Formats: sequence, structure tokens, C-alpha cells
Amino acid sequence: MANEQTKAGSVTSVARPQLEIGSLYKSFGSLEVLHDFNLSVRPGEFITLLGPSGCGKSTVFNILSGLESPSAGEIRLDGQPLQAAFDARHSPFAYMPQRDALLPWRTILDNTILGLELQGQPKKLARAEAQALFADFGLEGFEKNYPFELSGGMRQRAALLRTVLTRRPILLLDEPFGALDALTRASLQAWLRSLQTRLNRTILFITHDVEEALLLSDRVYVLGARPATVKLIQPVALPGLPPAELVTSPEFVALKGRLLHSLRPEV
Amino acid sequence: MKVIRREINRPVEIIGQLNPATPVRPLSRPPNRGIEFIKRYAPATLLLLALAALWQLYVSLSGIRPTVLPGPWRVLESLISFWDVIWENLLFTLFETILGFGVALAGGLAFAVLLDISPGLRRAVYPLLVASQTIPLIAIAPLLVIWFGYDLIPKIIVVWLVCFFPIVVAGVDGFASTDPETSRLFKSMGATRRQLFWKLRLPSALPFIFSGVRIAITYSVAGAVLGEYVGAEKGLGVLIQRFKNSFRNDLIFATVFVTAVVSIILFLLVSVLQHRLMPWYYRMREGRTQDVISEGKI
Repeated sequence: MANEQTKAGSVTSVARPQLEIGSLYKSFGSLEVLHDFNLSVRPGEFITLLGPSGCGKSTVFNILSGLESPSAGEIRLDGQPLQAAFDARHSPFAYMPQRDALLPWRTILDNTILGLELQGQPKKLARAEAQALFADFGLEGFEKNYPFELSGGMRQRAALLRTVLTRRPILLLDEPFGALDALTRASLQAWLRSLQTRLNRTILFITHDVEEALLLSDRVYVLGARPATVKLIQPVALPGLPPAELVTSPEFVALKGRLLHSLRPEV
Repeated sequence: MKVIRREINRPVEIIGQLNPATPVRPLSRPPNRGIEFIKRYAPATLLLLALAALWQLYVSLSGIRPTVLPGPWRVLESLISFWDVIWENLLFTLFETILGFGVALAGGLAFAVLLDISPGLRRAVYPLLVASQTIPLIAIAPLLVIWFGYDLIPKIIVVWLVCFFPIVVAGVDGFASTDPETSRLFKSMGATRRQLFWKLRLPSALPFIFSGVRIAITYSVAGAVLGEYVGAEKGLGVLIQRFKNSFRNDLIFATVFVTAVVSIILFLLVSVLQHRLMPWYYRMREGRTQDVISEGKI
């Protein structure tokens, strides 16, 4: 189902949501991090959570990936509530942490198969599956290298391949390009966008970079400072220009202004 | 050599390039192993020879009696003429060492895992463990002979006492060094406790464990010799005592020399094992020094 929609080019508003988060609350002691957080994602969508640092964006991911439990709220996947049997083994979410978290003692190939290996897949099969994607991820020829021998951009791509290879339908990417230099970041953004159309995965993406959010997303959720609530849901429809021209186009600048405005803290 | 360095460096620069579609052949190992080897071990060897020469010079010039201080040359002669006796006792000492070390390694790692699993136990036991290291072994060893007699057991206990502590401490520190973010990644992927241990915590701890093991193995032979010295029928420790009683200082030196050489050999064996088990670790370190060298040169 997801395939048809993405192939059709644009996601119609009639499509049933793949993921729904309803009235999610989370507090650590007396500190409220999430307040009535709502989110709805259609299959194959690229959704960005944009917000100031430390606003609780990552907490949403931690709850979805089962690392923390919400204080209140509901998560529905394909219409079914998810809370009760929240077993990380069969989670629909593939989480990619901010740092690449590649294992220094494993080669790149063996790093990427981690998810499959933990699911009990024989290494040989897992390696074959990973190998088939190495070219797409620009990692061909580096299968037997160790992580420290790769550049920061390549390590992030390897970490993303590891995330994709968990075979889970929804990817949670937590500021994956945060630590990279501007040029590497720009090239990875373009690459990720083109990759997503081929992979047919739903992506939830965290960033505090407004341009990055606009360049990548179908819709942007702007979150306020702690406790995080949704302040604006901005659909992104931009002309199909190369990024360098796009960022100076009037449409882009207008949207950017709008997002920046909604990001401004209320006085 | 400069040309070789350049070629090693080139892929590093290209890796940093933007286009992900054109990967480059990965880094290859530098071929100048022999030169590196000499560079690395020449200073220590030269210093050792110089010290021996100085020692010999002093003995020859001062006219000191060989029963008080024999020169290195005389020690070497005595070592050769008494080799069969020393060899026979060395095998015995080595047997005790390996046995005691093996028990300490297996027990120490198991204990470290236990302390890692239970923080309460760790808080209870850790101070005792540290305190146990303040007890001089020379005071304990004779007691062990009284309790367990002249045979193997007390020596194995002494070696175990020497080796257990560094291995446990290294293990506990090693497990604790596991990156929390990677732990979370494993959990989000649904890793079981067993998978978390074998695929993350143990490999993370391995460099630490090897540091502990290298310390342990270095002291283990001396531990066995001490155990024998206070009461035994065979072994290098017994030899040292016998040589002392017959005023053969040259043979004491010879036995000590053998003890040192054996300790170094065991240490090197552990290093070889470490290279085998953790090739990534050494490639990482070499890679970093290589980078530092190239940055300094260009």
C-alpha cells in the first residue's frame, strides 16, 4: 500500500495514517517535557520535528523506540494501539542516534548488519542483504574497513544503512547530520531525499535547522520550547529546483520566514 | 619512505570528498615493518647493553669479589653451566604460574561480570578488593605453607592472589566503559541481555581486560617464585634460596634473569593474542599515529 502512494508521487490527504500519536504527555519528576503532543503520519511521508535544542524532540523518539514510557497518551500504528505489547523485538521503529554509534571492533559491513543479526538472521544472509545496498549508500569498497577509517559523512551513511537494514517501516532519525560540516551536510541532504523515494520508508526526522527541515520534508512540525507542544504544522510544497537555487527562491524564503516566526519564543 | 607515506595519505584525503558515488580503495598497511621494528626496540636494547657494560666495567675495575657482586659475564657463564638444573625447576615454576593465572583469569572475569550485573555487590566488594591489595604477600605466603603444605596448592594461591585483582578491576572498568548511547541503540533494536553482553559489553571491555591481563601475567611468575621461596621442594624460588645459602650470588642473578625473561615472554604472548583478537584496536591506534605523523610532515 505504501508503495503505491509514494509511486503516485504525492501523498493524498485521504490516505489512512500509518502512525498516530494522540495527547502524549511525558514528565521526568516535576519537569514536564511533552504536553499534549499530537502527530499524524501517512505512509511514505517525510516528517520533520523542528524545535529549539532541548525542547523534548528526542523524548518523542525515545518513547517511540521503547527506551522510555510515556506518562499518558496513545500511539496507534495502522489504526491499532501500540502501547500494551511494546516489545522492542517487533517494534516498527528503527532508531538512529545522533552520533553514529558504530562499533569500532566491527567492519563497516558487519556494523550495518547489526539489526538483522540481533533479530537472529544468519550472518551470511544478512551480509548479502547489506552488500546489495552498499553502492546506494556510497560505501562500496569499504566493506572491510573499520569505522575510524571513514569520514564523518560516510560513517553517518553507514549508520543510516544499519537503520534501514532493521527492515522496520518507520525510520527515526535524530539530527543525523548535526555533527557534519556544511558541505558534507548539504550533499547528504540531497542524497537522503533521493534515497527515500527509492526506499519507500516513512521517515521521522529531528533537526533544529530550518533550511534542512524545508529541503527534506513533506511536512514540518514546529515544536515550542519545553514542554514541547506542536505550534505549527507546515506542509512543504516547493518548486523542483536544485537545492542551491531553491534556497533563494521566493517560495522557500517565505516558508522559511514563517517557520522562523513560529519558532520565536513567546514573550 | 617519504614516497610511501604520500601514497598512504592520498586515500585519506579522498575519503573526505563529497561525492559518495566514487569510493576509493581503502587504506593499505605500510610495508616498512622491519624498519619500524628496529626503530621501536633499538633504544631499549641499546640501553640494556650499555647498563650491562657499565656493570661489567665496575666489577672489573673495582676488583669487588664475585661472591659479593658477580659481573654479567660471569652470571652468563654460570647460567650456561647450571642450565639443566635451572631448566628443570623453571618448568615446575611455569606450571604453577600457568595454573594460578588460569584460575585467576577465569575466576576474575566471572567475578567482574557478577560485579557488573549487581551494583550492590560491587559497592560491597570493591573496597575489600582494594584493601586486600595492601596486605604484603610475603606475610601471607608462609601462612599458606602452614595451612596447605609444601605442594602445589599454596603456590597456585599466591599466583592467583597476584593476578586476580588487576583482572577483576580491569573487567569491571571495562564493562562500565560501554557507550550508553550504543547501549540504547541495541535496546531499541530489541537486543536480549545475552546479546547485549556478548556483542557490546564484552567487546567494549576487551582493551581494558587485556591491560589487566598484561599486568597480571607480568607479576605472575614472580608470584610463583615467592610462593616457592617460603617453602617448596622444587621451582626457581627453591633454587634461589639454595643458591643464597651456598653464597652463589652469580647463580641467584642467573635465576632472576631467567625469571625476568620468562615473564617478558609471557607478556609478549599475551600481546600477540591481543593483536589476534583485536586487530581493529591496533589499526585504529596505528592509523591515528600515522595521521599525526603525516600532519607533522606535510
